[in-house]
Amino acid sequence: MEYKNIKKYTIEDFLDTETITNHILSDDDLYALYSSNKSGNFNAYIRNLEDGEEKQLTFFSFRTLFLYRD
Amino acid sequence: MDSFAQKWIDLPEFSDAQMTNVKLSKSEKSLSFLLNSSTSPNHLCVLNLFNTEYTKVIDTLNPAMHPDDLVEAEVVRYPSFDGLQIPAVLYKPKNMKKGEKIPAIVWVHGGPGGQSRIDYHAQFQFLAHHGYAILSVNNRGSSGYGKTFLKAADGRHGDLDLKDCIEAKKFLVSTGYIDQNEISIMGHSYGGTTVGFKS
Repeated sequence: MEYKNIKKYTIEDFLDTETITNHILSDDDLYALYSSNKSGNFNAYIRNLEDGEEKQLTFFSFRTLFLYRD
Repeated sequence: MDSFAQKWIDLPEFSDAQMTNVKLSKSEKSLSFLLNSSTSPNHLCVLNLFNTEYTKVIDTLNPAMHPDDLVEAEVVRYPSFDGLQIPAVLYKPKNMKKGEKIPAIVWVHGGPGGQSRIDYHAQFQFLAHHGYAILSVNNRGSSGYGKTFLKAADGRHGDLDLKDCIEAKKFLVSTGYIDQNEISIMGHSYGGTTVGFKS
């Protein structure tokens, strides 16, 4: 398939991708807890799965927080 | 498998995508996972096991970008110097003109024993977006193709695996759209070491 008008992206655009490393659902299936690097490094976030509201839980700027649970 | 009803649950098909980090919730009502493909980074998805509908909870691609502008990678296979079929992941730029010859980069993954798969790779997408074809080689010694293939470079690392990567040049030229004087090789970790053996 030919795509004639492809928007030109810069390396900054490509590097602006959010990375989620691990996640856990709450016992009532209403929240997802996950680690994301959207702040610049990895921090913990929680999201309400019904209304999509997201809350940042940790605010490390020079440490990395990964969630881990088997 | 629904262990109460003793029947299988049909899950949706995710063609050309990978599910990782799959979790069954404590209530066993939901399955949550990360889903990625060559045009989308790991999205967080939650699937309802009662109706098998799933929702993308977090879209991790830069909102300024559209997946249709990105390159869908494909798996190709080419014969190496001794005839062994070598799998590789090919990223072909989208907006190529007819008859155009473009530069190509052969990419060697790390390990030894790693594997290149069809997943979102910002660096490859950036290069493909700016006119380079990328061939990410799964030389002998890579995972994912059985024990024989994984052990095929044992004792001959830096030799047989490198030859598989060098043979990629013939494959690239055979596509008809690669400039044979503009093919380079790069790699990450052990892949970088492999590339170093060439010089």
